[in-house]
Amino acid sequence: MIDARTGSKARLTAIVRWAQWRRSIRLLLIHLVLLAGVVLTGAPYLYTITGSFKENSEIFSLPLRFWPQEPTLTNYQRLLSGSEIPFLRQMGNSAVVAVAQTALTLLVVSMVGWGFAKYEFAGKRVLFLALLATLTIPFQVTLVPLFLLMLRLRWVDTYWAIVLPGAVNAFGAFFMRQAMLAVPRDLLDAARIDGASEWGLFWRIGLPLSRGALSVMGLLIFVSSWNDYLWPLIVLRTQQKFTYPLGLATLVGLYKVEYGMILAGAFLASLPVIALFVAGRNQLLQNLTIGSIRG
Amino acid sequence: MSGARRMKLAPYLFISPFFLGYAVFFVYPVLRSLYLSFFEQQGVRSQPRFVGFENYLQLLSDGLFLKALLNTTYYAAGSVFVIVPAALGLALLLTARGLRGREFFRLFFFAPYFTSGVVIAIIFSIVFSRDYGLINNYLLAPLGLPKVEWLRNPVAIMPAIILVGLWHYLGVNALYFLVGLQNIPPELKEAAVIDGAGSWQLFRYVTLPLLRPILIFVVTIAIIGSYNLFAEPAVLLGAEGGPNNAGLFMTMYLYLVGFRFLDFGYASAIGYALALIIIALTLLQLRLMGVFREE
Amino acid sequence: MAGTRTITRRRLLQAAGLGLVLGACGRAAPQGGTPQASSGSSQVQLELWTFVNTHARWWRAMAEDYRKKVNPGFQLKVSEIAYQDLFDKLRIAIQSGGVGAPDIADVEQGAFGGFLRGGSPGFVDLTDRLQTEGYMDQLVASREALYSYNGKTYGIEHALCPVVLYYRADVWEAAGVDPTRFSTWEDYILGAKQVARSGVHALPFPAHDVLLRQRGEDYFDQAGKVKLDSPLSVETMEWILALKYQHGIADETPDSDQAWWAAVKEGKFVSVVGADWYAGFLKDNVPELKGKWRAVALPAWEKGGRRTSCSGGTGACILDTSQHVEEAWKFLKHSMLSVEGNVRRYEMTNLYPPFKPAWKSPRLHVKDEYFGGQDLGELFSQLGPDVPPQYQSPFRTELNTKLEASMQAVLRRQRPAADVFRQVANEIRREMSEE
Repeated sequence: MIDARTGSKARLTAIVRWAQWRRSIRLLLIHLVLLAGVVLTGAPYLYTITGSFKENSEIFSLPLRFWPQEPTLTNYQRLLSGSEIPFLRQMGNSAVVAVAQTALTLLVVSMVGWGFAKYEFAGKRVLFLALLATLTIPFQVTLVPLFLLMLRLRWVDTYWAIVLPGAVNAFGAFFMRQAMLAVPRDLLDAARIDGASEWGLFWRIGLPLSRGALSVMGLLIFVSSWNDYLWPLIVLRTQQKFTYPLGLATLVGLYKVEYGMILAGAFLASLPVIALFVAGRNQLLQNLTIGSIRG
Repeated sequence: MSGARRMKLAPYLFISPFFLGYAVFFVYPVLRSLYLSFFEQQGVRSQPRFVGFENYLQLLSDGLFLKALLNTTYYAAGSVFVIVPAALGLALLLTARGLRGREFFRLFFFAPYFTSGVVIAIIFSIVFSRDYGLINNYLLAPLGLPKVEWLRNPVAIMPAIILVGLWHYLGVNALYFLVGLQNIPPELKEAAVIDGAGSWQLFRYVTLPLLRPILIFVVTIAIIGSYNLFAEPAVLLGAEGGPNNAGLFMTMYLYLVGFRFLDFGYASAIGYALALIIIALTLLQLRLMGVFREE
Repeated sequence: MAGTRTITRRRLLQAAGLGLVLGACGRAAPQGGTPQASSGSSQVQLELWTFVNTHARWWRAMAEDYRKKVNPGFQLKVSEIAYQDLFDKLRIAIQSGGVGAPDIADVEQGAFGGFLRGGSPGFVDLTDRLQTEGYMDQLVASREALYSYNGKTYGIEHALCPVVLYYRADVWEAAGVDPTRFSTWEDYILGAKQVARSGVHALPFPAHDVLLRQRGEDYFDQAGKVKLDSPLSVETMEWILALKYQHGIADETPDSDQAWWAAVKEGKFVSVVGADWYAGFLKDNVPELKGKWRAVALPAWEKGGRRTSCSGGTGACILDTSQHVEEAWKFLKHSMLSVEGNVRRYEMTNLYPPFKPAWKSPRLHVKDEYFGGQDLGELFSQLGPDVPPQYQSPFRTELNTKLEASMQAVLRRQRPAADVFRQVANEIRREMSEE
């Protein structure tokens, strides 16, 4: 016998259970889609890794086999022994350049992003457009005049030529500006009343609150510097100073392409970046408690 | 220093390191290159000859230039209407509540961004191979679809490049969106849910508007990046862009004219025309998204 | 390279370096090296750029040798720079008046043409030196055409690059055909029909320009005129197409390096028209087929006709911005124009020398196991004097670029070869007249 109360309770339970069920299905679907994406995205990358353990001729074996039939370490041995190229040294060079470039660029772009996000000043719109304009000019256009400038400054074959021009990163400036817009005015006004300097506002409030954006931008700058090929190629002359992409490129010979070594080098070179990403993942996607000011 | 004056001066101090570098490393080379676009200079050692706007006029009747423009715009459309929404979708999936392995997924989709051009050539020539390719054999054939000549059929070439772009840039764009999604205060979402909002309404009326700054950023970068794209198509198809120049991007044409044909003045003009196009499109896009209204 | 289709590897080479020279800030005035007083021992340091690591090793060995035998104060700094990058950097260096330019550079024949555009190429004219010191006769002169223009020669060739027919001896034998008996292409076609079956092609489309050169013409003639659309050129292209559409013995190469080598491994293609350096490719990429391949001279077009062609090549050039032109020349003589130097280079790089006196050296005649004990050196020496010239032009890269884009349409019979050739040729002619 269903009376009014038990009837409605049963209906309520049924509804709740149905909603839960729907949510589980949804979650399952999400997982499936993501897994499919992982397979599609990862397959080529997996091929790189397994390919690095194959002899050159086996890389050309078709039908495609992911796993090497005769796994070999020769690619790695030859690469790391420095017999063809001083790869380890070059990776080290890349690290130095990337770290320096990341640090300097982050400072410069967060400063300029802050300036645009938090202040009004004469010429703001014009300067902002000018900043965006850098993004629109293809890099090839500035290449040679910039190189000749490096010559005149005697920065050729030094890392200054890479790090200093690299700090003018409009992309980073744009991104930091957008991110810093979110820092609440009230917080800043309050701090000003408490006697903080403008620089202090930036350094003690703006930067920490933009940690997520800084981490993302820092990672991107690092990766971009790490993988940068063209400009270091133009500017660096001695093999000992090369960054690793330049070194790997010399393995693409006219008569013989060292596929295996290239794949091995590419894999090794991706490891530091992955490590950084994994290590910094909390920083990267931390929940920013900007909402704490209200009320 | 009085508070008011400090406020006035402060922004300029913040933006000065950036704009100092900007003047030296960007404005000067750009102007120099512009100057050269009004000259004709062929070959390594020739004397430049002043020709005024002739180079620019030549562009209008240059079949290859127009073809490159068409191709690049096609790709840009693919970037904005396929890659960006996919990245947003991915970011949303990655913030789903109850997701397992969230960090693994985040890392994985981001990994392709680390890959350099040379490696992409090796990997994707296998992915796209007609007889032995991953796509044809593992995706299309099982579904009963005919094999596609990705790299040789002029119609299939641009979709292939867009797929490469998707693989390469999906993760990093999703990362930008993730940062943006972080900035949405959870209280707002909770408030909306309590008010009875379903997922779609939540997305449309809460998430999307608050994502606007990041969305603007991502679309702008996507457009600019598309017109600057060089490595992936050049590496897969050769600098000429494959059969019928179906994959010829504007930067590749620039490279051909300047470096292969050594027509420096004309190449400068192409560079500037490209820059103007990018600027125009960016302004248009920003205007459409209301950036010039009050933030 | 197999087939007329660019293989991925060349794209890799291109990808390796992308820069754009867009202007000269400095008017490049050649700094003209003041000739060093040639001396027995003087402290000289030269810089050399190359893009092949095997070449680099050889250069270093030669430098060591030169130091011991000629000038103890000699030092050579060898930089290996990726293929396309090297020429980009070289151009930039020449543009900026020689700042940062090396003294000697290995310039690949395909890239050389680019340096000829407008004004002087930036390399020292070696014509007189080669002639008066008698080297021209000792070199296979037609190879020097690749680094010459308007009567001036700017480089010395590293490799003879004779083109031969490589074939799978086991497969042809099983079909009862002996490729060493082919004297003309007619013979080849007849024999190939015995070998070709469903799934097995006798060969991939041979490169059009290689066959054209075998017949005595090229895309440009000696005077630099465009000959792409000549009747012989068109006829040769039609002949190549007939190999597939009429005789059914040839096909396009697969769309990637990997696919190509896989096809070779599976026996889908059983002969290939290739230069001497192609032997190295076979060894590297299909070592499983060791012992099965042989090489033979190309079949001729008419009885008694030329049985080889040329494809590729790299020239060593002296930059005219160098401060040590004389010393560089002496070093080049010692390494590239000596028997020992050429023989050593063959041993280290497997490139057959274009220097005739070296051909008699027994070290060039090795029984190659990969080719079933065949002495390839013998074959190359025999063909050497017949290697045809390949003419250089400042517009060669442009022509190749334009042709490449339309080549697939030609190979698939979507557009007639005559039309395509004429169109490209006219475009190039128009460019030439505008300069």
